[in-house]
Amino acid sequence: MQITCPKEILLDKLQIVSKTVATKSAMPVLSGIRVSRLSDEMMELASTDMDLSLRLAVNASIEGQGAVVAPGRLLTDVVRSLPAGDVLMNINTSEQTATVTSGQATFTLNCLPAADFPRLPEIREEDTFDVEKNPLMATINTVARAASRDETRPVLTGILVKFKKETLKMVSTDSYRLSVRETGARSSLPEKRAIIVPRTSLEELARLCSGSDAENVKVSIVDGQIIFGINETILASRLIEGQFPNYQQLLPDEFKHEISIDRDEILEVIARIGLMAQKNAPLRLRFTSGEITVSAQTPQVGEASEAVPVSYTGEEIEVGFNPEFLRDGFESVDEEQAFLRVISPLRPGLIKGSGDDFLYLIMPVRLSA
Amino acid sequence: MRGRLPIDGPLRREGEEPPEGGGGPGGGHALNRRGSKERVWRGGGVRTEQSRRDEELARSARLPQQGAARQAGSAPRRSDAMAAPPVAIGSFPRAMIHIDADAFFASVEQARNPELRGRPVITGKERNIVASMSYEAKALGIQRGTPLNEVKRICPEAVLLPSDYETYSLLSKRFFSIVRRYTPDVEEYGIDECFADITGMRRPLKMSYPRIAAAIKEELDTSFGFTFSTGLAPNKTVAKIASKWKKPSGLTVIPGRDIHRYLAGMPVEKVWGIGPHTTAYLNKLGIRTALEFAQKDEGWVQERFSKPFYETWRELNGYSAIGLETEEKETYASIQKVKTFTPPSSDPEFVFAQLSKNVENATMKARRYHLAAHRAICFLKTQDYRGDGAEMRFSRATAFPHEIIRAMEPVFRRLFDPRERYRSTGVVLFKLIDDTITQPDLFGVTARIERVAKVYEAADGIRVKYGKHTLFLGSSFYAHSFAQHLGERGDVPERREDLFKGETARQRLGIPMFLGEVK
Repeated sequence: MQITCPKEILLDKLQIVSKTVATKSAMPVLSGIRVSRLSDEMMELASTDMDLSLRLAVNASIEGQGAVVAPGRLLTDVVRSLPAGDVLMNINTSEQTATVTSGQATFTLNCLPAADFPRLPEIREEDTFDVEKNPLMATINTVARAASRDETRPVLTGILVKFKKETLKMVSTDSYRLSVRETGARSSLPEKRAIIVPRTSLEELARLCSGSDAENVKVSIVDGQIIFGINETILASRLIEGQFPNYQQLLPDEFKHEISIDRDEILEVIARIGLMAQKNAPLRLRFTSGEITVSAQTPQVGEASEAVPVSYTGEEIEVGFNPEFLRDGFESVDEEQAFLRVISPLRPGLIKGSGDDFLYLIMPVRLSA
Repeated sequence: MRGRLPIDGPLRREGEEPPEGGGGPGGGHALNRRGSKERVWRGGGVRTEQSRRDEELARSARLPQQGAARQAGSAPRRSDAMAAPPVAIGSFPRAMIHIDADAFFASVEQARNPELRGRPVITGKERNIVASMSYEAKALGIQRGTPLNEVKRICPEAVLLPSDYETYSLLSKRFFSIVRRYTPDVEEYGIDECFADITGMRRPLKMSYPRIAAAIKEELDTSFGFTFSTGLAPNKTVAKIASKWKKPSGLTVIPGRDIHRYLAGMPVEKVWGIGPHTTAYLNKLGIRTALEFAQKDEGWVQERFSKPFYETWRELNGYSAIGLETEEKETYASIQKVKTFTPPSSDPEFVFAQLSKNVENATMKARRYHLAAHRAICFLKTQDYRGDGAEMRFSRATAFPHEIIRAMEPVFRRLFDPRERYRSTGVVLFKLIDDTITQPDLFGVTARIERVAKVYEAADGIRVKYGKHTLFLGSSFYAHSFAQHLGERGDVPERREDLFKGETARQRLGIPMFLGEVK
């Protein structure tokens, strides 16, 4: 099989597909990219690390038949090093080689047989529904940061995704904060579905979405896998089994105090004062009549404080928060005005916008003095 | 003087004649056969009485090897070394002492019971192997770790004693406090050895460095009634070489300009900090002696070795690279508790209870240091010293024995083989983190942990007041309802049996030894 493709397009697609090439695997074939023919004008690049797999269609002119698994890193490096112009790739299935030619340069890479490559899940049209792409992407970008990175509780490393007819809801928590976002997103789904998808898979999906002009994303949930189709690109991920914590019961019924604050302003204050919150030191938010004072102190480093006028009339309280968690919360609000609700220094606080479509629950840090 | 400060003989091996006197290219001083001193002054100069005394002292502890090198043709490496240039030219840019008690445990026993002096004394009865042996026992070929029944065979007259760690640690404290009379910078490196930095102490003590070393040794020897081997050098690594150079009761002074002579014939694995793997690697690089290592280029060493070994290299070259750790240990990378029991057992409940008791002890220590473990290893050792273990990972760090024991139960069932007879169990807690919680969680897990922590806090409080084993978990019951060792090995140290009036098994006077016994 002979493939001709402009270098820039080929490199771009190779870099995307490299994301799911396994780096440390006992199976050599997983460190490769499968190159195969889809039609006379289309080839396919595929890779998988067994948790996540990617298949990309690439416009190219194809002659003949054949498929191999080329060494992923090496093929990408080789193509990156080539000068601009058409790249010629000659796939020799019987000898398991891929010969890459550009100008006067020729590379022959030893490959593995395509038959050894794991079978990747297919989109089955009958089980597939469409979801609007932009709301899907925005929801992932809001919620993903609150998901846990601690592998000891696998369920929390995933994001709970609830597809409904008119809305899409995602929930994530690392047990110190909880992020819930519900977005209006039309889907052609016959009934409700709730699944837990690994955070990394959804982040990859969001990346693919941002580079695509598709309006809808095809979704198919079969055999413990979720498969997304964005135009000709297919991303398949394993699902996380288990019970996602009942987050509804974590949300307090009512909060004692609420302040409304300019989102960009508080983010700037957090960034500034946060400089003095080192070595796990918290940011302190002191609520007094008419203002909140954000302060931080790190022993042997120094301290900082800044007052922000707000309309607050309740009792004087001081609540400590992890600066990073606080920043993530306000950054996730996509309105100018953000709201912060608190009960007491040891009860969870809530960050939200004007509506209830986004809720960010955050557990305070205990203040020593 | 000679009696008090014996002379080292780096070249003197068994059966060799004492070295001939005479100076060599290194310009040292040596003793001749009759033991009188011959001086070979290199360069002139006026010496004060004080400095000459110091010279003598240093010399008496220094190298008489040139003669031997000449005489003993069997030591070609030594003569190579003579040709080798010094690795350093100064004497004591820093002055570091390493002091090592000679056969500490056995010496303590001999010191407190004069009847045992001159007799082969062995401690470690409760472990059924030799933990420490007196020089008399060493001379009979007994080594650490020898099983006691073999000792009885080799040397029926040997005195076997159970270890009395209480007395040893009391004396250990006294040892360090004596050294602290001379300098505040003391690193307690083990129960029976320490490093002391005496740099800058010449003026306040009105003594030279070798004198200070000699004075400390003398004070230790006389107050304990047994001897200490002492080494003085510009850094810790060389000081350790010095103290080991002559044992027992050696005083070895290695100024920077003499380091190379000591390193020449010394296999590189004898250097402090160089273990078997590094030795194997060094051997592959063609390095066998400490001197060959020291003579390598700085760049060569940095390229091939990590920082600790580079520091060792620097120290072998006379620099001081490894600082003293004078602080008391406040944190741990891992906590291990191992206990042997006799007779060996194939009763799963008893063996599990032993493991459970170890977990309780290990977690008690973890809680004392406010640590919690993410992982643990438990292991079982059979009668024939084979071991089998397994690692456990916890979804959150814990210092609660009931949680670890619950996780350990299935692991134990897998490891335990009823056909085997087990002699010891152990547990290691590692991946330790600070257990103080500042960030509580949304699900109330931290709140639950804190409630449980309060229970353990109360239990630990009771233990402090009424004894470590007043309270224990049911799973440890069988380990508490029998003595750890039945039979001879169950003998307890005298100090615990004969109590003064008013003393209890828990509360005793902090007096390390008895005054004597009238018979």
